[in-house]
Amino acid sequence: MIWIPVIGLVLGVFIGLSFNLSVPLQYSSYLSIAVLAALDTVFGGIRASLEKHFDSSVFISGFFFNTLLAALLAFIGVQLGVDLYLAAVFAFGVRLFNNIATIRRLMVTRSRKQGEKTL
Amino acid sequence: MKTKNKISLLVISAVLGCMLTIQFSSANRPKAESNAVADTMQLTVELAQQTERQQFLRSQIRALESQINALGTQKVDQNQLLLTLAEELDKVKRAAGVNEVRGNGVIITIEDNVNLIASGPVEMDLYRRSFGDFLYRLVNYLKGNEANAIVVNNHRIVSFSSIRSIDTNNLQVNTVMISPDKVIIKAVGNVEQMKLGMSLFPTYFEMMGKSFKFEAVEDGSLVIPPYDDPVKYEYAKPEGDKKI
Repeated sequence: MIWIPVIGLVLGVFIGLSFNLSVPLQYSSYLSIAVLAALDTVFGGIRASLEKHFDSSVFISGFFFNTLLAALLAFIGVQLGVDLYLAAVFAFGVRLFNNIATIRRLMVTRSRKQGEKTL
Repeated sequence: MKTKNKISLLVISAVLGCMLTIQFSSANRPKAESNAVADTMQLTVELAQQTERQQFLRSQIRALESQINALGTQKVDQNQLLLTLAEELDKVKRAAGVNEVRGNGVIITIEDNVNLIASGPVEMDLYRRSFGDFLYRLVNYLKGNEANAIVVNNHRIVSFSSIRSIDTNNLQVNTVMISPDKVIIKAVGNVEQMKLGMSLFPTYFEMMGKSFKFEAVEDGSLVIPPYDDPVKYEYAKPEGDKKI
């Protein structure tokens, strides 16, 4: 199951390289925040699937909503002259580390269980 | 895990991968995209050019100042003064194109080719009407590629020269009518550079049904005659043989 996002990621990288797309530098900061939000959603999805309560509707809506919200927050921050994007970086950063830690714990537990079964 | 969930995870991961690639490629290519960086680079280049130009102008001023000083100190010696003035006059004549020039150069022959006319495009007549414009462009390219002196059908190209098509059968060079059927251009200067500059032109003239022949003369035997076409003066009048 863990291979699905990896395959998707490789596929996306391949598509991105093939079309040689780029965004203007002034919008690059919005995209970086959006990428952070997207990463958080994907890791959240992996965690949910490992915990056996993955819901594709929640996952897809979360991906787009978080991504757009993060970019919007960064945009509003630029317009107001306040570094609002830092809030998004902090929130998604913390969630990202939590998700990764949970995934790691779940995988370690699972591998232990498999080891006990083989013994 | 359901297939639907697997597909959604795959698609979203692919979108994320695509976003990551775009972000990386945008971040690693700031030179072309960044206005600030491009502006700085442009300013740096312009500053270097202006500095170079300033140095050149300063050297010109120094040379002219020394020339004035030389003329000032030589006022007692009339013969030396005349010699200096004659040298200056010779320099001016060379720059104006009223002296004969000899050296390495190129001979370009552009003439009507029956086969090209027969197989030419439908719009050939339109192209042929702009022959003068292309000839002017060719002369301009020769000048830009280190030609020191140029002559078109023995009409020397100088600062006030003109080349224009009257119609498909009449061409005017230095206000003198010539036939556009065969035009021979001779230019003295850097042969290799001029050869490079001419690389685009054969195709243009072929579209007009004209063959383009390029010949390099590298034994120093190419002669460019001086300007001898009429000059129309508005205010100045020729002095004739009157001695000043």
